[in-house]
Amino acid sequence: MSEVSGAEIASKKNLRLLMEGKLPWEDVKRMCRISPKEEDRFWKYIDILQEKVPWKEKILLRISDQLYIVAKDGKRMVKCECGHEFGDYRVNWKLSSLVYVRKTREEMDEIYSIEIPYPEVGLAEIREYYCPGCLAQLNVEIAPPGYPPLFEMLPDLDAFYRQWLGKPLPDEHHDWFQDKTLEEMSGWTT
Amino acid sequence: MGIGEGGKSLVEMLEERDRLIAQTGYFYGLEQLVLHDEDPAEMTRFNWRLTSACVAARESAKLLSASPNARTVGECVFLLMLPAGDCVTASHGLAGHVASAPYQIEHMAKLGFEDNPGIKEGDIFSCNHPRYGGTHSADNFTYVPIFYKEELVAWACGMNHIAEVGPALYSASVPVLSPTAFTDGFAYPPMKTGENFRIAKWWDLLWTEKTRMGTFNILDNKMRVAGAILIHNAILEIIEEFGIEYFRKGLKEIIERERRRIVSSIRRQMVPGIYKQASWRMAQNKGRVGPCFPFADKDFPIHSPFALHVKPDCRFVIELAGVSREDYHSWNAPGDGCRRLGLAWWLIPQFAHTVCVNTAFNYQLDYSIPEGSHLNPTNSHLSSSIGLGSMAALMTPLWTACNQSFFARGVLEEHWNATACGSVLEPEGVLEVGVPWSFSMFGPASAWATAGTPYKDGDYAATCGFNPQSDMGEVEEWDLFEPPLVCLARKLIPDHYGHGKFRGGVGVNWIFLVVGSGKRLSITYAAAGGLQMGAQILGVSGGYPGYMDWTAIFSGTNVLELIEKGIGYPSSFQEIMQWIKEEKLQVDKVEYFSGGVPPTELNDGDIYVLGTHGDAGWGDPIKRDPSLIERDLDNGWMTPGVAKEVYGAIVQSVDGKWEVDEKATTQERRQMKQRRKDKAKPFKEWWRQEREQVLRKEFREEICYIYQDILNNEQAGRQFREFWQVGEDYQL
Repeated sequence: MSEVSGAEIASKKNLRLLMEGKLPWEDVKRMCRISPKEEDRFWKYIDILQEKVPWKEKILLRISDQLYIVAKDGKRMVKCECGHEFGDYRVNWKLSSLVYVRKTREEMDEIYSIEIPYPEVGLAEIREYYCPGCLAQLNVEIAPPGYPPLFEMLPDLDAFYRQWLGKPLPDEHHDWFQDKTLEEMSGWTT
Repeated sequence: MGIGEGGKSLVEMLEERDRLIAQTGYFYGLEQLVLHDEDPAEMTRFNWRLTSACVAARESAKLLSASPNARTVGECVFLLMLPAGDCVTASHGLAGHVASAPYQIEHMAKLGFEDNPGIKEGDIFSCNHPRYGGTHSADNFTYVPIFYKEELVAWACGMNHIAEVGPALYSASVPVLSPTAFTDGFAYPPMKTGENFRIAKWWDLLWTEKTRMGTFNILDNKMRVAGAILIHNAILEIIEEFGIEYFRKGLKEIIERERRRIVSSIRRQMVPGIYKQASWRMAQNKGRVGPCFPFADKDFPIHSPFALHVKPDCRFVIELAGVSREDYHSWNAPGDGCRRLGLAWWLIPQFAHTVCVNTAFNYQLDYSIPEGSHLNPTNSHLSSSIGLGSMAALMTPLWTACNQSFFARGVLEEHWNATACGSVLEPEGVLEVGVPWSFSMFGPASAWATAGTPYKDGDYAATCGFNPQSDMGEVEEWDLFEPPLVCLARKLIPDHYGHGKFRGGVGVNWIFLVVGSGKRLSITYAAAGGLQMGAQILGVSGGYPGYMDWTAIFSGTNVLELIEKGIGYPSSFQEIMQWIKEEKLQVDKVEYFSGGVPPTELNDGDIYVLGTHGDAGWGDPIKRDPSLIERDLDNGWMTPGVAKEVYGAIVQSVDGKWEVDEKATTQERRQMKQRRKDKAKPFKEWWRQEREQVLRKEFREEICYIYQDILNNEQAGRQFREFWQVGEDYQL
């Protein structure tokens, strides 16, 4: 029942190796045993990420392999590793992506090798979302036709930085934590 | 005068617990963990004694069972509970089920069991009914109260998943074809099934008469009772050693300590906010439930969208708006015991990494579910035979949501996901000598693949989300209990996973040959995977979703003749197809099933192929490291065609080893990106086209069913209408 300390095994060097998929499995298991996780993990992570990306904006949070929420010109926006900007992080970034939808068996053949367990045509489709800047595949959904895309993650950044990390963001404001997706779409029919 | 401490009744103890938690936020108001603070070593020794009692009970008692499901696969658990029902600690095994047990004690309390039938030393109580805190008929809970000097000081409980529950339509422990509550099989509310530590004779007779496998079920019951009594005896010794005051206080402190650990994990691993996911599956009833149930003779899509709120105070709140209605299928989930089980399956692998699996997490989690939905049904005549599976369907997308949070936080090593699979193969028949038989084979449910992670590929046949001690079982044992089904092979299936920078775990084929089918043989596959509407796990960060379960049945083959001639038999799905192409294997009929298989007659020489698992990928496949592609090709886990088409890898075989041409691969991947650009369209353009379809209401009947429930929910309906901008009066 004793707590496992992570100061040594969860070094910045090992964290970087883990992010690259190169940390030996035995060390990964040692990291799994750290409980609770070391207090400065997030800051080590952000340091490594900031060194990795080819742009200078301050990273507030990483939300997928390629996408980050960054602070820029008084805004908090989603930015791809390639530099492409998707806009306000409170709007589902998928609205600013390129999308390709697989509906037919022929289209699904390209990614599934055994035909039997395909989703039935008309019951579900596979949606691929690409970055308009670098064409990376950012997300894949299976959903019924007509199903609104999922807005998978809306972080409460101010609560996170103030209450959990103890370092409030300089532009802290109660307005930040809200979903602006539908607002962004108003007027799309005209 | 109640049976608890100071003469409190069970209901009074429950009220005291809830009042103190509400007032203080701490379990039983324990702001200070006095025993832990005063002498941590002694507390550790106490804790280990309790946990050891549960582990020892399980390891001894399971030898009484005749079923490999309990003995080998690990589908049983033994626990120690507070008088008011909270689980303090448990053995290895079916860990998630600890979440349900408190609700059965709560029902006994509120039903006035202290007065009628009475709760006293030596009594045995049993329950498996989801409306009374149970999970589904297969999960049988047996309770023995622990009295010390005439005071109820704890409960001992044994639980296991039995191999047959006596449903009306076919033999099964997981009856996914059950149109009403009255076809579910032997589901019983809490009842006293023994006194003076002896099982009532009528209880054995009920197992014999109400299920198809009475002997196995009687032995499983003896196992549960024996384990609970072993815990009972061990606890009395521990009380003598530590004193009753220490015991009473220590149990509560353990639960509060574990609650704090969970809070600490959430705070160090997650990011507060809102995480949205959904699950879809199909209750495959159409043409399968028979003419007696015309109201149930259709496929029911089951949709569960949710928003997981991770609150700044480290509490989880799950909001389910627009979930599918209750209906005449097996997937209705009545009762908190049933619902909490599915949620425990989510929480335990990701947060409860301690020596004590208990119900502390119940106090960090709230949920709201619309009344009248399949997750909160009001019609007691509806089936709930696999209702826990509906709640369990949430655990995979909940893992996805938490993984996103771990990833954002930099805690990559905790990323873990797998398609929740409770799929069971359920054959039955009559042997040539006239003996009826049946059995539930748990192998596929106990050895899932895992999904790709941000740092490595998923594993194959490796895990079971709800059972940390799972095992796919011994082929020889399954052969013994399912005499006409000879397992020809368990093999990994090439390309059978969601692709990604880190791909999902490789799927598994189970291949059976029918030999000695006797007077009759029928087989059912109770699939609980993606079921007809796509895989449960969405790929993450650009990885593809995995596979749903599937089955191929080859009837009237000449394989027995081939074996007799010494030619042999095919040992993989691909080999079967190749042998058919070469006309070496003759086949009269081939049937394919996506998801579950309804009861299907089999005869000697038939070949039954089950494909299962094969999980989701992580990251864009064209970012996959060439060395990993070479490894997959060398292992036979990937074919060269997939390497090129999906991963953009140009490969060649050199001296029996595969090599990726890195220069050509870079060029191919560049071209793949160009093809993406050519075929994709800006989201807004796609939205305009899709909106036209929404306005024309051109959906299949099953999809309309989903959207009707969304539109009938105030919150979900408003969001749907506003997203598509179709007006406030839009209906389907």
